[in-house]
Amino acid sequence: MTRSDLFSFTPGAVVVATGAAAAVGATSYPLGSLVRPGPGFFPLILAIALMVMGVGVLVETYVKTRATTTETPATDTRFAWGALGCTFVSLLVFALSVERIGFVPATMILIAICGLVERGRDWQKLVLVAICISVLGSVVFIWGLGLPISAFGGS
Amino acid sequence: MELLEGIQTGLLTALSWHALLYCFIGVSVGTFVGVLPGIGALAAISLALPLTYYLDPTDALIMLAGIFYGAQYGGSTASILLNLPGTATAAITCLDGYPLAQQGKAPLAIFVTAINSFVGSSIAILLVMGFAPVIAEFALEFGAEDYFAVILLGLVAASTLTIGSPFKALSMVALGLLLGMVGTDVNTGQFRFTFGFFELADGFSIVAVAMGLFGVSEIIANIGQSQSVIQKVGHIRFRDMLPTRAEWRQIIWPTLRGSGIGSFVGALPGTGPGIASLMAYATELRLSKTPERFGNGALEGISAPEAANNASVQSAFIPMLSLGIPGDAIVAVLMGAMILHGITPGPNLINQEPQMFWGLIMSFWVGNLMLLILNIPLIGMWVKLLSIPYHLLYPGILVFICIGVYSADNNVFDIFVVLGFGVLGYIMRRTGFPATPVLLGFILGPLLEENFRRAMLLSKGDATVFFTSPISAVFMVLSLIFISSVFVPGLRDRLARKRPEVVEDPE
Repeated sequence: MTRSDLFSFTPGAVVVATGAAAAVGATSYPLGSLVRPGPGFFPLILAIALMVMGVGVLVETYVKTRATTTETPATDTRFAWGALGCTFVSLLVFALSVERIGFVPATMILIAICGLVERGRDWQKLVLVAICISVLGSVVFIWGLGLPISAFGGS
Repeated sequence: MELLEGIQTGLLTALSWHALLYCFIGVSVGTFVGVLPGIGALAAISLALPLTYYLDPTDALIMLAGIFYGAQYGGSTASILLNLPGTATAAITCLDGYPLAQQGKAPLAIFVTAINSFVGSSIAILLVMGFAPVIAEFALEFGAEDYFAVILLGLVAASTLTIGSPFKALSMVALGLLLGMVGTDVNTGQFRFTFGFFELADGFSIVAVAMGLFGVSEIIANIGQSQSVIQKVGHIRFRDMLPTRAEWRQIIWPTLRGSGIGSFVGALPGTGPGIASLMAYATELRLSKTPERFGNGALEGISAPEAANNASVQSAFIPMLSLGIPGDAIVAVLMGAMILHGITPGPNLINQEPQMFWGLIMSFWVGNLMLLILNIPLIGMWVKLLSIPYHLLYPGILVFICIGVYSADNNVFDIFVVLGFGVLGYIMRRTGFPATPVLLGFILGPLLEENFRRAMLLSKGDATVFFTSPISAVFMVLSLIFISSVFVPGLRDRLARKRPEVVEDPE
């Protein structure tokens, strides 16, 4: 069994582990009785179901890798680390900054981070987008819906 | 005549100026997100959801539903012109729609899909009007165990009837149900799985989970892909759109069959427009005397699936309005919207809120007429939209996702929740775990647990009640058949092969 084969078992293993963790969590709440199921009862059933299904996924992967031992699994598209990282960082920064520096600056930062990652970036148009979004967002959400954040500066 | 009375009430509601306005906004936004590949109706609805807090619940629902069925109209445009499905459900339309466009028949294809969408929707709306009240009346007799069983059936059907691994889908249902447990237990006040976060006392916000799983993850997946820029669509003239007499004759039966299949599939809890259009296409392929034309621009190949996916979207409201059980993830979010507005969807809805029930249904007619206008004479406007490059679009969408989810509760915590579910959604997408069952489970989890506990209490702890109550027993047996079909692969294949034949009878 090669390394990539082992790697293909990760999803199923993660599901089983999640189920196990949830089961541990569920048993820390009162289980109650069948007549009056407590807050831990239903989650425990679900956690067990999750583990069983995770085992199902593992078995399925095993059957599949057995069937295609000679061929290496073709990965058609790469995992988009760049896109993932860019989205992660931009949302994180927005969440941390919006209440401190205001909606408009936070928007600018988010769009700038997205622009940094994009290869064929067009700063001029991106600035235009940023201005449109800032104005539209401020009008709809701050002025229209009265959210407790300011367009500029902390709230 | 209750029905006529209902229609009258509904028309009064749906034709008020504000209902018309919100219906128009809804269907326009729906067409917009349907046309643009990379933003789905689900993301759009979750985005609009916080905005509707300030509206009258009926108007809110009319608008959100408009986004839902409007997107089905728009979805075919990008499929035909770019070979890129605007919505996942429009993927089938690419098969014959794009070849038609290559033959210079794009205007004809667009016209045909719009007309088919309208016919499919109309037939399904008639069925909603006829069946939803009847089923609701029947469902008034339902006890807690029956509800438990029917919700379970919906969840099991949704995850076993999907394309791809049923184990993965079922495990995602379980995960979704567990996510639904997060927060304060209503019966005892116990905090569950909150990890010390006070923000989780009310559980995860529906908006944040839906936007993360469907909005953010879709954006991540789309950024990585090279964008096919629209070269030239050409001018779409109304003159080129009209089918000839022979072409009308060619599409009339496929359209009706597609509508029938779509209405039937959509009304089942747990099956969405994707399966409906796939089945309609397969049926036409099998019935056709010249199957070799399919894939090379057969008109039947776009009319049947388009009629089917629109019909299924409308008939998905049957279980939602009559039983309070959503057929797919989008309807589940709509249901979440109703609950947020303090209205419990279910058999009592039609009696307690007749104005909302009939107003919504009548607004479907209004909305579909608007869509017909938006998608035939005004199609050129939407086609221009396709020339906006994605890298200018998505930063704006991200900002609106953040601020939209923030506005739901004025809480930055929810942005982190979106972020978490976005990353999770992307990883799930890459590893073949479907996101729809997670959301269905998440929304139905609390309902399922509540009915389970109530059934247990009423039966004094006798777990066999689920099989001794006749209504519940039927649903439980159906669920068991679906589940066993997963473990017995041969049975699953046989069911899959049989299914198109079963629903072939035109309604």
